[in-house]
Amino acid sequence: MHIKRAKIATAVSAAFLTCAAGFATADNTPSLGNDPIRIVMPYGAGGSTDITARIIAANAAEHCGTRIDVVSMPGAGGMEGLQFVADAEPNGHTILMADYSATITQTLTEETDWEVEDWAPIVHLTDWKPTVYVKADHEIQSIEEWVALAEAEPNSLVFGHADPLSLVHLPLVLLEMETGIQNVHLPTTGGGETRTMILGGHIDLGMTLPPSIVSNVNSGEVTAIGVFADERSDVLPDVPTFKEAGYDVSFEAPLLVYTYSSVPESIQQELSECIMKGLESDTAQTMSTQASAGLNNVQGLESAQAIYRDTTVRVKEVLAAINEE
Amino acid sequence: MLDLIIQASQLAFHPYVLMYVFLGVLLGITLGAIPGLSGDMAIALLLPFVFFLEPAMAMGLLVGIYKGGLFGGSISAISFGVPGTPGAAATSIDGYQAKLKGKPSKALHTALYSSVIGDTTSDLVLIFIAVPLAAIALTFGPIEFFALYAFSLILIAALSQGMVAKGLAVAAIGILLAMIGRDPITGAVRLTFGIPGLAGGLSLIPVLIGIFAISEVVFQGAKLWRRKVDKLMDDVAEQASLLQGYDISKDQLTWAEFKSTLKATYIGAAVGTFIGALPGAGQSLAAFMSYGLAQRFSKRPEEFGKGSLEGIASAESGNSATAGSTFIPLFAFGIPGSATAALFGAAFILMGMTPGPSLLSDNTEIIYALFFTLIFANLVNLVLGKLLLPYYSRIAMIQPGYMIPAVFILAIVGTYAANNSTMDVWVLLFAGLLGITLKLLSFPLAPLVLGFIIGPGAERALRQSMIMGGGDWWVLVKSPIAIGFYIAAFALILLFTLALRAKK
Amino acid sequence: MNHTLIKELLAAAVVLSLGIAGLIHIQLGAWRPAPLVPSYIMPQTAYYFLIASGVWILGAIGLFAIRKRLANLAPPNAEQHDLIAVGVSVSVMLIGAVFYFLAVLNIGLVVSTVLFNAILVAVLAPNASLKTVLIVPPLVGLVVWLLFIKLIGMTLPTPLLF
Repeated sequence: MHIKRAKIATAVSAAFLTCAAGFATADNTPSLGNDPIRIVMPYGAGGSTDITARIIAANAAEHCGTRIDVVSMPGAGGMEGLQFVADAEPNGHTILMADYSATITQTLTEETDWEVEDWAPIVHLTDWKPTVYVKADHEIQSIEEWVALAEAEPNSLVFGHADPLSLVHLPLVLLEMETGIQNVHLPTTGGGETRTMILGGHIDLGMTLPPSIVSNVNSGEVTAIGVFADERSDVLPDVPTFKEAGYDVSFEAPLLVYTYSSVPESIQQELSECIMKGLESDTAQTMSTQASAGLNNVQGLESAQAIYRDTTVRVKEVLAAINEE
Repeated sequence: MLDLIIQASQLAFHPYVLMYVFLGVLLGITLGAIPGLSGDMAIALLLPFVFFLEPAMAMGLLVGIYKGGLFGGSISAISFGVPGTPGAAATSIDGYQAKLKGKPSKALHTALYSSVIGDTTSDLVLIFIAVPLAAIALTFGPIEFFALYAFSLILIAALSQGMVAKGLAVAAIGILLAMIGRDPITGAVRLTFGIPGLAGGLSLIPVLIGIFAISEVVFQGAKLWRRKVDKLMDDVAEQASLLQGYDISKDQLTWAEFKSTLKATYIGAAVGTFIGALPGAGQSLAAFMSYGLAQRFSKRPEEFGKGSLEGIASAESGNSATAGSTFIPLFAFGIPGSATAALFGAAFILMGMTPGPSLLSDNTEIIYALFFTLIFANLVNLVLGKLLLPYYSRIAMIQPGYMIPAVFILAIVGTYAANNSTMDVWVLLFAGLLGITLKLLSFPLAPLVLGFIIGPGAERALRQSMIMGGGDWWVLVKSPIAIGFYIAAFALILLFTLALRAKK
Repeated sequence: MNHTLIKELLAAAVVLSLGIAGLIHIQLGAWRPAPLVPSYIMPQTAYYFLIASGVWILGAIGLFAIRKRLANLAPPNAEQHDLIAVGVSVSVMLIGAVFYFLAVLNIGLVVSTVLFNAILVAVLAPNASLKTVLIVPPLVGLVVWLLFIKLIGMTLPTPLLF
């Protein structure tokens, strides 16, 4: 055990215990001021979004010139977090980090005080690639076998996904439209429950995000059969995409940092730049690799806005198609 | 193997690690004692620092907080009838009655010992038989979970002596409260009375603290006010009865009393360990279920609810015995079975260890060190608890005129802080009002809370089973485990009614 | 009519009306159709249980009435409640808490806490004196500030005062 690191550690936690972390170095970017920045995350603590938010908090603080706190607000299906950011003073000190299901899908399907366009994406952190997987000893072991079996016996296969219309459910809907196959859709509380059911042999197929099943795939407990993305996932390089299998379905989920649109554009730009700078640092990259957070290709304002517009169009299409049925 | 144990113990018993365990337990007990706050929250707050710590130290800190928090919740449950954490709700039933009878120290010590015994049992199970138990846990699909939930509900509703009808009624109200919000299958918003903030449903902490704590505190307030206006006691008499009148030397837990609680503690340890290993079942369910079972198998079931030390021991040991086993699904499959396990999973990831089947083989040393720390933290919990308890039992005897307002305020602010949610505070006050109304009409409150805890799980399990079974109700008895639960439920009810008859 | 009888009748009435109102809501409300089982299956079961227990409570009252043992109706260890005191306490504490929390959100945590605590102590503490009303609340305010602002870093909307 390295005593030096231990000392730093003691100092760090002592700082926390006496007076909640003081990373503040107020030498640059005076316009943001010294008030702490809050990253609101509309999910529970401990998930993959949470880990990513904490990597930002730990690394971007010195570049943004003030402390960054991560606040978890899972209330009202995440809507309480969005409401908090929308209601906050538009000075760039309260920002949101979420995937599209909170800002786009729920805004379109629920009654909210804001429109999809009211969220201004400033950083494009990563793209999550929804992945279909089965138990290793299941008779289905590839995309082709799945489609063949589902065509032979419609509605015989049970497919576990998290909440209805979430980012691990919409791709399934798209695929069913594309191929005409039918599966039994089984909503679960999330990736953990889906995985329990797959491993226990209670259901046939499930969808999740790659980092959460890597270790199960490597140990040979489950087989990932296909990825709904344009390119294969970095962490599961042997798993084909649905495009490779001949089905033109791809639905990557961008993880974005947003401000509310009433925040002045100069502040949006400034925040975007300091977060980017923080994430490009070596520590941030090491943390990202350890956590499989995929922060090796972080994109700024323009890319974020472009991908947000594209995703909005796609979600609208899928929702319209579902409503027609 | 011996090499490994030596290396792991060098890691685990490094002075810094020990210091962090102490710090963690102290922090955990303190936060756990405050209504609304729990060890989970402290762990979430400390996550960013995990990256800067050596893994062994970080583990020591987090484990300490977690274990301290599990026991800490019982301190305010016993002292003020206000469960500090959801897991301590069942402890407050008998614990608070015991305190009212002038036995806070006995109650607190029972809680401490049963908590440590339950926790240690669970840790040993995690260390030695994690893999087989994990395999059993996986056999629990929706059908089996529904049977488990039905079993525990029957157990608890039938527990309300002489009030079975009322017990069933409040259990139904609890389930209905849990239905508020989003339909788990269709995603439609229902039963929200048009309030958008309710779309995500009611959270556990405000409902639980509102029902148990706010209602109790308001009733205490009523008694205080009556004494104040009637001038029932003058200042001197008041002082005498509350502080000087309490003699801590007469309030020591005797060896005989401790032994009499052991059976309940073991029941709690077994139930808690098993429930903890099931993903998604939770501490509160474990506590209530072991409380119910301990009453069934107790020699003096009529004491339960009136300050029975057995009641405290079963609830507290059931609650704490989830501590080790909740990690079983995480270690075996990378599945976080509880909020705490999810947070530890995040901590593992931040330290570069991936939870899942390869966790142990890739990080053998540090995981063995964690095992040592788990056991060691129980010892610290015991020692610190033992040192602090005399002070806590004195705090419990401070004049309620000053304590009750402070506890009430802490409950409100603590509930807000747990999720940074204003809605939660309104729910807390509403639940308090509901609790008061039900108490005035002499309804029991425990079945309501249990109904609320298992409501969402039971509904999801039922509807998932039906979807998987193609709409056929027989699917619910197509599993041997499920049939086992239904038979056990009937057997217990039968046994209990027969036992009652025999007594009369 | 004794207290227990009124209480039991009231309890039965509350339980029955909740159950019936719920069933009506299931008939009339807009429930999104779900696959295989109706989406109101769980609430419906709960309403049936409510109605059944309401009938059960009424039946028990009837049985006791026939046997002329109404006095034994009270469940073991039932408390008699002091309704006036509970009324006072509900209005001071619960309704007070609504204003207190609004004040926390709009004025500031510490100031509101000290004020609310002072009111509660003044109304409730049997032996409160001017001295204790001045000393205790600032202490509680200090504890709340240390714990929730300094240690936990609780998130609150920007207040007017601190």
